[in-house]
Amino acid sequence: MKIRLSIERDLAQIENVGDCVKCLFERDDQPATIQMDLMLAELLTNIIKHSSPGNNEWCEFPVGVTVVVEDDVITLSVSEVGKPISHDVVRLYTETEVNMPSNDGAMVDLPESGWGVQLIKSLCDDISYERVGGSNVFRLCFDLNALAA
Amino acid sequence: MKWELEEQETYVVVRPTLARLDSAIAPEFRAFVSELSIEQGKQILLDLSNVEFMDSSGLGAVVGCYKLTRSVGGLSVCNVQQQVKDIFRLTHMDRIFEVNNSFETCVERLAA
Repeated sequence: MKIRLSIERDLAQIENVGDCVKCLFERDDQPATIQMDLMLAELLTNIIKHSSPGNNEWCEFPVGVTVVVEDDVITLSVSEVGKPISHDVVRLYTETEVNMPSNDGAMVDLPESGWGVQLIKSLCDDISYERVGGSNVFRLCFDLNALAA
Repeated sequence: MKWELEEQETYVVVRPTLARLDSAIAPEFRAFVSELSIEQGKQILLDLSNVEFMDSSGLGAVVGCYKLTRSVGGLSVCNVQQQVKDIFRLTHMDRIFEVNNSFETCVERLAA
């Protein structure tokens, strides 16, 4: 099964992607639905908030989302036209270690951000990035069976 | 209306009516609670009974509100739905917030 969607670069549009995913998986796979909704929300938020504009024309390019389900493995691909993402940011996504911001310090030092990428990494089995033409493409994979276990 | 309010003597209940507390609404939510806290000078009880989905931006707004309200007793959460509990757990914020309390339990504590 494969679906393709595109949304405007507007944070309010992210909910629509979640709704589409829910329609697809409104069966016994509620954990998978919630997991996908969260991963997509985090990735799309980062892309929409941190894309390098360069000029105003980038706003006209929608963000593409593809969901593929094959042999119980779900692959989410998100693509966007924009400047290449820096190596440091790519490494943040692709290095396997999950480093949630620390909350061990004083209350005033409690983190208020920095969880998004770490949440994605903690929820998916594999994450990759590639530059395709003029687009940045992220792929997130996870196994439905592992999730059920 | 995106949130309901119940003003009590020593605390204010804020109950988002939206099913999602995410990046699209988090800045507005944080600004609203901050203003309310300054205006009222009371503890905040955040009733999350309607919130079925929270992302890290929503969590950041809740933590930000918690820090902003610390001088007036802080912010507690109640009626936390399972997906939202998962976010608190995955980010270890369940060490800071008690996420298993009912509205009644929180009200009893605030009234004590």
